[in-house]
Amino acid sequence: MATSALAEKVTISGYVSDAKTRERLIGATVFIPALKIGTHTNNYGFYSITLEAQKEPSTIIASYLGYSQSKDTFLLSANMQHDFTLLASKELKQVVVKSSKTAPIQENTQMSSISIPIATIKKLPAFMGEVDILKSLQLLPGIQAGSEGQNGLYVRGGGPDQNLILLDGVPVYNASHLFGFFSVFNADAVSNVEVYKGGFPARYGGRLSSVIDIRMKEGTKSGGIHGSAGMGLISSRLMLEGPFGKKNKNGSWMISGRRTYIDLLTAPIIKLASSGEATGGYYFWDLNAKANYKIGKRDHLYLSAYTGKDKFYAKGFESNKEVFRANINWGNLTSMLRWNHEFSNKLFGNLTATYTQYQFQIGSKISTNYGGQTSSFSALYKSSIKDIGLKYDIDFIPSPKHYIKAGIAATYHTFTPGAVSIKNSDLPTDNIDTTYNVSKVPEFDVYVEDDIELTKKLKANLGIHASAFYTKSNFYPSVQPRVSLRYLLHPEWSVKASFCTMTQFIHLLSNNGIGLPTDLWVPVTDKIKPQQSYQGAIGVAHTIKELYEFSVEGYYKKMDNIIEYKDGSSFINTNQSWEDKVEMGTGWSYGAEAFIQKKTGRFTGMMGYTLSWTNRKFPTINSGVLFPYKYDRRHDFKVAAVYEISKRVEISGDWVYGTGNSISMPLYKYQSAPLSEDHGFWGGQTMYHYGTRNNYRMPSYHRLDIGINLTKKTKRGFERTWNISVYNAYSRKNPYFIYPTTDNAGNDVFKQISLFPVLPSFTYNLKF
Amino acid sequence: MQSYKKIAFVIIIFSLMFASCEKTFNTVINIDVPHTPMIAMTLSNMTIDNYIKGAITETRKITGAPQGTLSLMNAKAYIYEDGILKDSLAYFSADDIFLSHQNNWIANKMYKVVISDLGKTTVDASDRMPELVTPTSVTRVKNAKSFTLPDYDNKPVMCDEITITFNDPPRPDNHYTAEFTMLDSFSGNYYSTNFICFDDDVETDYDEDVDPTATASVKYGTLYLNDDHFDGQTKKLVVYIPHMFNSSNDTINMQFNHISDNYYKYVRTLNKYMNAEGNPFSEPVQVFSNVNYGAGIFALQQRLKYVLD
Repeated sequence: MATSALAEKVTISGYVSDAKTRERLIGATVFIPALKIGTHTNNYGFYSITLEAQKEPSTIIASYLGYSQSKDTFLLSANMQHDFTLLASKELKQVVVKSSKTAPIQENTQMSSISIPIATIKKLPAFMGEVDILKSLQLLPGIQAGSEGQNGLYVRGGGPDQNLILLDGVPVYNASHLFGFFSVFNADAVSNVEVYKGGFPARYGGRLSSVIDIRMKEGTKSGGIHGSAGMGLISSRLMLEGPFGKKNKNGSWMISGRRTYIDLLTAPIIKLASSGEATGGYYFWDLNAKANYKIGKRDHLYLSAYTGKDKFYAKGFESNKEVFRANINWGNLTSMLRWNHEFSNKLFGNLTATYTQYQFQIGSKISTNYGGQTSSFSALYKSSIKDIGLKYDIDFIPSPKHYIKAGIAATYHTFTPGAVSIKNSDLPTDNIDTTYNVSKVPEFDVYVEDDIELTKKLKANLGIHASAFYTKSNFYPSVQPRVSLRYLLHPEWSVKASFCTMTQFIHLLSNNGIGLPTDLWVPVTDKIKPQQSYQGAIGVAHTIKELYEFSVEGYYKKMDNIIEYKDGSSFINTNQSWEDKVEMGTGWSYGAEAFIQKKTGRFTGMMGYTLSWTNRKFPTINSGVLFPYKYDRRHDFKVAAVYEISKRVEISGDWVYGTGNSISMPLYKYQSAPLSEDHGFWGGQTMYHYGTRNNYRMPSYHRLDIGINLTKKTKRGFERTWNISVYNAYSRKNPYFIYPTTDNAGNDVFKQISLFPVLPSFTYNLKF
Repeated sequence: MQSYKKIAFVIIIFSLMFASCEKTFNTVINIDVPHTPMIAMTLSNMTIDNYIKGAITETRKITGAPQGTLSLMNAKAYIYEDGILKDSLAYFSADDIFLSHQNNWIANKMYKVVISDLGKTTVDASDRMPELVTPTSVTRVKNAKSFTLPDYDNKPVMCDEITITFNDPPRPDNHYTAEFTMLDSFSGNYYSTNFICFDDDVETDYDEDVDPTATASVKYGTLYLNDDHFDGQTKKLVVYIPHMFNSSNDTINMQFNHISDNYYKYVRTLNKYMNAEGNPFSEPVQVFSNVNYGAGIFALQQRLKYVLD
């Protein structure tokens, strides 16, 4: 015992990178088989293992999904640094199967978390030619899509506002293009996606239901400029990357952009069809950029930015002069500057400054010209949220039995839920320039967590996240304990359990959850309290023959102070404060999820099933009675697979099935009237009786998507790929919404609208 | 060659998929909800003569012909007072309404309406007659105050001040309504007036007005008052009636009602229902009903009318 305590400790640390591009690999495993100790790389590819000084040489293996293993043997008798470089499997002449794996699922303390390689996402069928990261996440159990085609995520009964979507550590407030049909994340610019549905590590906070941690590519550090380009039905993309700095070794950069071009095609047609009196269109664009530079042996600087915009516009002309203009614009801007410093081979620090902004505006302008006298009337409505943040995080690995992470952060939020500007050139005295409910509020966060190996079989991740938010006259502190446990039953089986509480200081005012840009982000106030959740989960994890990962989890989640518009209220009514339009209530979600995944080999894929219940209760909504959440989905089944027929041909497909959404549907109609004849007695007014809220189940949702990738290397060494995808291959009429109307005979009818029938698409991709 | 066979196989699969597409690419289909007709009622002592009157109709499934007037003219409707039969309702075809024979409904008594019709489930609804709350004073001060508000183009508008003072009975869920109409001396017509009110207990049908420039203190339509903050106390309500088209010499009529809790819940949800109708972004509103085994409302009120010269 005494000998063990006094034994000299040594540390081996370093980075794991892609051998070709020298990009760092996040989550790669570094393992010493003889000693049965190991670790995995952090978000910057850094690893550190501290152990007793060895007298005999030890073999160290570094591995990562989709890459060959790298082995090295050292005498670990003193502190040392060693960087591993791994070769991507596709660069090898033979397909490597067994050696390419990450840490087995049963060994990890973390539960309710899935990491999807971006390469897998890119192989799945694309919707209208666009590979979409958020839509791919909807193929996972416990994560549901809202309505047809939408990329909003409903995780374990939570709303889309309860997802912390981080791009290089910076929150993205509206991750939607085209009203939610596409996400703002360009797959060409992304290197890694990690999703947490529960058992949240203490380093994350601020949202109740999920964390989606997306990391941008760093850019290749080898050779000259490389890149990829793609041309699809609705958009084109270009990504360039390359090294810079001394001998092109110290830094790298990446820039990626895309733009849709439907407007360029349709605008002239509209103009022609209207005899030059009108035009209009829609487009979106986005741009990702990242650069990193090694400024010393132990220091690294990262700078990344994302910006994107959606724009709808319509213009009217008279005698070739513009007389009418209307537009809706929305977009995000995020940026991050980070300084990595390796204090020692056990301590790694990050200082990060962040900025994020989401802005939405709707405007119109009418110009008239009578007898040479011009006048104009314009109206503009704007809403925005801006955050400036500063945080410091450390990773401390004192021994293989502890992995400590800690950090502190401050964020300054500026909420502008609504600003109206009305200008009338004829009546300047009637001009209005008003901003409603602007709030500038600070938020503070601090956390510490330790991934501890208590015994050879029992591992725990214990952490605490504390945060505080200020309003005009209130201070909301919050202490959120986080616990995850893993007990190894067998080398291939483990039992896991977790408990976590989360606090959210912002709310999203949303009328229908379809990701409209009009959804307003608002802070907690003296009247509206922070949202809080308590989630417990228990499950088993199993690896079958090192090929298949299997997990089953049961969970229970309670959410307090969630808000909902009162009956009959909507964002359109601007005369009333938003606080008066909403009601605070409680939500419950519970269920079980089963998931099986095969990550390696020619046939890869995943299959998941969720059985769940999600309910809401508010003091007056639905007369105070419990009602099912709109996205309460009893059964949810998903399967996705990719099969590599040959080096040149891959086929893929996915099939999803879900119980229909709950909506409020009238049960019958009757004649009603006011109760005072002072208003005149108006008999014959048709009233629809709804009974309870969300009383009707829409038909179930199911859809098959299929795709094929045809790849060929050109003589110049470029790789070109044709992707042909078919969305909704058997043209299922999935319900989008149901609305009342009258038919030609004057009869009342209810119509179910389905958005997309079968939609084939193709994309041409070139990698150089 | 082998790979081409595989590609051909994939193309065949694709073709089969297209061939099995559901009928057509039409993306609109009709939805219906089955329903067995029930009895619906809208009954109240809704006029100053205090007779209970209103409609007795039937419910219908949500699709099909518009509702129109579907009076169940052969329906049998009885009114019970504290469990004892007191009156019945008769159908008057000229006005297409049901009307009681009596009009002496006693405060604090419980009234129950029971309606049956051939082939339909018998329905019932109950309500307590509110107490008659007579204001201790109602005053009108002409040209009392001038306001400059965006609702009136930021120009000063002269207002008459009306003060209503009454004693609220010591019982929760007392609700009151007030409505103001003015006689236009030029046209001879009555019209509903706007009013300005700074009382936090006051609600109106148009509190969620869509006009972003409107001032919160300017109200439209019926004024609702809850006794949540003055239960059992003396309440003094002050409203200002602006001179819009007329001089201060025009007569103001005030209807002051003490309404039951059922009445309040019905009219408030009805108003929200009407406001939300046609707004695709609004959650649908369920109109309050106190009818067992059927639909609609039976609600009572005490009505008082004041003429303020």
